[in-house]
Amino acid sequence: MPRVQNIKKQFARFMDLPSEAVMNTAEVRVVGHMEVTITNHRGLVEYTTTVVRVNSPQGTIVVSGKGLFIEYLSHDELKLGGKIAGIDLQ
Amino acid sequence: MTAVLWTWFVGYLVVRFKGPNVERVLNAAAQNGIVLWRIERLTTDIVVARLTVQQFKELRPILREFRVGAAVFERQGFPFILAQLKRRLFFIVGLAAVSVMILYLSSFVWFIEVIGSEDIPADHILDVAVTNGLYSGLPKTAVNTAALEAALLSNFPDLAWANVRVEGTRAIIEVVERQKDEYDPSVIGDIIAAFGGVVTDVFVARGTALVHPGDVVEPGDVLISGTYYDTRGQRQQGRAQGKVLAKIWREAFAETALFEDYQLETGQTSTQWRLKLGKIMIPLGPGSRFDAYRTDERVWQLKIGTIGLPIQFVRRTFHEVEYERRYLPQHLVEEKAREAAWSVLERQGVDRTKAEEVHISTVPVPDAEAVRVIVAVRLEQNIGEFQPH
Repeated sequence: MPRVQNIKKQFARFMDLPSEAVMNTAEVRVVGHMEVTITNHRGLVEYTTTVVRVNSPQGTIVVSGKGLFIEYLSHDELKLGGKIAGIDLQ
Repeated sequence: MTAVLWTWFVGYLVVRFKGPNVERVLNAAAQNGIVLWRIERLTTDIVVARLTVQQFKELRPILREFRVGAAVFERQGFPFILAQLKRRLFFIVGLAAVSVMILYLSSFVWFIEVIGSEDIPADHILDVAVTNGLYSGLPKTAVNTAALEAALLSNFPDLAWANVRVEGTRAIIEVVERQKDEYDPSVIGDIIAAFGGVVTDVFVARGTALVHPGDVVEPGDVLISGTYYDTRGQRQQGRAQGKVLAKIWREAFAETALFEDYQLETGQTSTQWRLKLGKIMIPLGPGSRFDAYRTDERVWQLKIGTIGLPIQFVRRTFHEVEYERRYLPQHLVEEKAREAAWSVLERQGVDRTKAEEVHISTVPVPDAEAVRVIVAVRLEQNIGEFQPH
C-alpha cells in the first residue's frame, strides 16, 4: 500500500494535481483560532461544544476548543467554527 | 453571502434533533446529499441544525431509521414571510396604499417658512411668494426658485439677498435685509425736541442753534436748524448736527394685582388623539371633559428617511386644574409695581443711575384689586432728535 501511495504522490506531483484528490487523503485548513475546514472526511464520530472527532482516511481528526459548532456539513466537507484550541490526528 | 441570501430566498427550517444517535443522523444526511448548516449542540442529546424545506422531507426516513426525533421550531425565509402576508391581505393592501399616498403627498410643498426677516413682516414676504406661485399644495417640481427670488428682490428693495429652497415638504424663504445707513449727510433736516424740558446746554456741530440754556422747550420744537450761512453770507440748507442737553421729567407707571392666582393640578387627566394632514386637524376622539385644564401635546411626525411628511399624530393630554387666589402683602405689591414702572422707563432709554430726582406715588385701583405706582424721574439728557425735511 505505501508503494501505491508513493506512486500516486509522484503522479500528482508530475501532473501538478492536488495531492489530496489523487491520494484520497483528508485536508485540514485552519483560519486563525476560529475556523477549521476538513475536506475528504469520512463522517462525524463525536460532536460536543468542546471536542469534535471526525473520521478520515488517515485516522481520527480531533478538534478541541470552546463553543464549537458545525458551520456546515456535506458529504465531503465539514467546516467548524468556535474558539479552536487544538487539532490532533489519532 | 450569496449562499445565505439563496437559502433565505428558498426558505429554511431550524430543526431540533433529539436522540442518542444524532451524529449518525448527521453523517447519513451528509452521505445522502443533505446539506446541514449552523449545527449547534445544546445539550448532550439535543442538536439544532438548519436545512432547506425540501431536504427536511428527504431527511425523514433517516430520522426513522436512527430513531432520532426532530421538531421544527423556526421557519425562516421569504416563502414563510409571503405565507404570513397572504393571511393579512387587507393589511398589506392598506399598507401599500398608505405608502403610495405618503409618497405622493411628499411630492408637494405643504409648509412655507420665512427666515431672516426683521423689519419686513414675514406675512408680506409670504403674500408676495403666494402671488408669484408658491403656495401650500404646490408640486415640488413646479417650484421656480429663481423666479421667486427675483420677484422677492424686486418687490422688496430693502432686501439684499433672497434664497428659496425646498427641504422635504417645506419651502424655506431665507432673506437678508439691507443694513440701514446710520448717518447720511446728504439728507437735509433739523434737530427737534423729543421731550419737553429746560435746556441746560447746546452743542452745535452744524446748523444754527434756536434755543439757549434756560429756555423751556416742548416736544417737537426745533432746537438746531439745518439752515446756516456760509462764509460768503449766503443762506444754505444742510443736515443739522449737535446735542441739546435739558433737564426733563420722564414718567411711567405700572399696575400690579393685589393677589396671585395659582394653578393647581387635581391629578385628573384625559387624552385625545388627533391626526394632522397638512393644515387639516382631524380629532380622533372627544376633547377635554374638564372646565379648567392645562394641555400637553406630543407630536409624532411621519418621515421617510429625513423627509418629513405632512402627516402628524398628535396626542393631547388634558390635566384638570383648579385656581387658588392668594393675596400678597401691600409692600410686596408696591415693590413689584415700582420695579415694573422702572422697567418701562429703562426700556425708553432712561438710565436709573443718572436720575437726579425721583418721585414715586402709589394709587389704588379699586375695581381691578390692583395698585398703580407712578415713577417720575428728573434727569439731564440729550433731547435732540433728527427730523429730515
